[in-house]
Amino acid sequence: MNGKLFYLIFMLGFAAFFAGGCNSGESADSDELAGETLDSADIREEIIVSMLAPSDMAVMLIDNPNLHFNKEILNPGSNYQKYNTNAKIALNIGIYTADLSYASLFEQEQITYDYLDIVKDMSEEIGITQSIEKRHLDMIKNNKLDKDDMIKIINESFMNTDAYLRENNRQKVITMILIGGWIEAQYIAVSLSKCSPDTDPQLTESILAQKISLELMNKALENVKGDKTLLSLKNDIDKIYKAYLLLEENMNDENFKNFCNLIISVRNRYIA
Amino acid sequence: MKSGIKYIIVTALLVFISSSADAQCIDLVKTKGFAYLDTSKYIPEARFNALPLREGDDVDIYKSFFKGRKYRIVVIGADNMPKLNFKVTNFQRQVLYDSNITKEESWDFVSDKNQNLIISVEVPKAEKDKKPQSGCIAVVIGFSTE
Repeated sequence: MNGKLFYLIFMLGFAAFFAGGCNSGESADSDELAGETLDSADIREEIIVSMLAPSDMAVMLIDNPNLHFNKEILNPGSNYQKYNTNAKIALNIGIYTADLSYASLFEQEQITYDYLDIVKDMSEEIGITQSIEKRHLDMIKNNKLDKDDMIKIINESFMNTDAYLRENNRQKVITMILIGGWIEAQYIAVSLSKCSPDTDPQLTESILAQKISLELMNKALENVKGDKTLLSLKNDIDKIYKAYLLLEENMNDENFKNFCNLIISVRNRYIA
Repeated sequence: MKSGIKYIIVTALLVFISSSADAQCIDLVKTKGFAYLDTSKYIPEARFNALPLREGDDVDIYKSFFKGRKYRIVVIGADNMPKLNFKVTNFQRQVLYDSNITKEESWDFVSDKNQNLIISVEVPKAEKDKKPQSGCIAVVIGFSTE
């Protein structure tokens, strides 16, 4: 009896490892991106901090009729080959997802398709095997879709990635993707604002509104200890939050420009 | 050798059971969740807010909502689960919505400000002497672009 019980417990543990670890693709720098097991068999009260996905972030920030599409501000697709650590790949999956969401809001089908394809390749590189389905790529390639339909496809694809990572206890990877997406959507917004709060008041309002999503990000990161990669990202988030507080205190050209420059420097470091 | 094969088969079976439990949650979101959301009116947000729970468990979901944006929040469970209760509160725990009063699975609202809210979902306790059921629960959030 005891032997059977031990075997069952061992096999369940092994199955959990197999389901989570072997598919994780975290061999290159496994310490850096080791999954954090937050769930247990005896959950009574769970808390989920549901930070904005890059595509939702793009809609909230950039879905604005006064804005235009500017390909020059995207992270070039050719950059993806230089990301050779899991951390860089995760961050830039978020960055490319924000970019392709921006493209889709301006109904740029080809760019949306190309970037989705890149995200699919990068996701597979870090062991996310269930992200962008071929039928979604085909739908964007073969149909004339409006922006709402494209965002629905992008959101469903992102949900697949999110579900896969959650179910495999890889919260750290999804956190990095979300941070990358948050920074890139803000980068697009501040670039379109030309670092002036007067360029488009609606855009400025949307940029300022994102302080609350940053507060949720802070909440999600508040228990990060001893993880160098996440601590470094948390440090960036803290600096941006302080810049938000300055803007709240005194909304002037100088503070807005400083905020803008901070976003640009963080983003450029992430895509380097 | 024979017992080795038996172990591999049992392992494969356990992995399959684990994966199919996971697949149930995403299926719940994309079928029942999207139907209640009405994707012709609301774009489903991209985050996956679903997880397996047991009767008596609860979950809090922290989420940002933006001024002037119209949202629908849908809270549903797998077919074997009882009807779920949910409340939407602010961080000071002031109740903005309580499904115990409306008896609805969803809440439509326009956010009057930029705010972080908490969606608290409670799976009612199993009846006395009955084994608690477990299954997926999902919170599906959609926004309107109109």
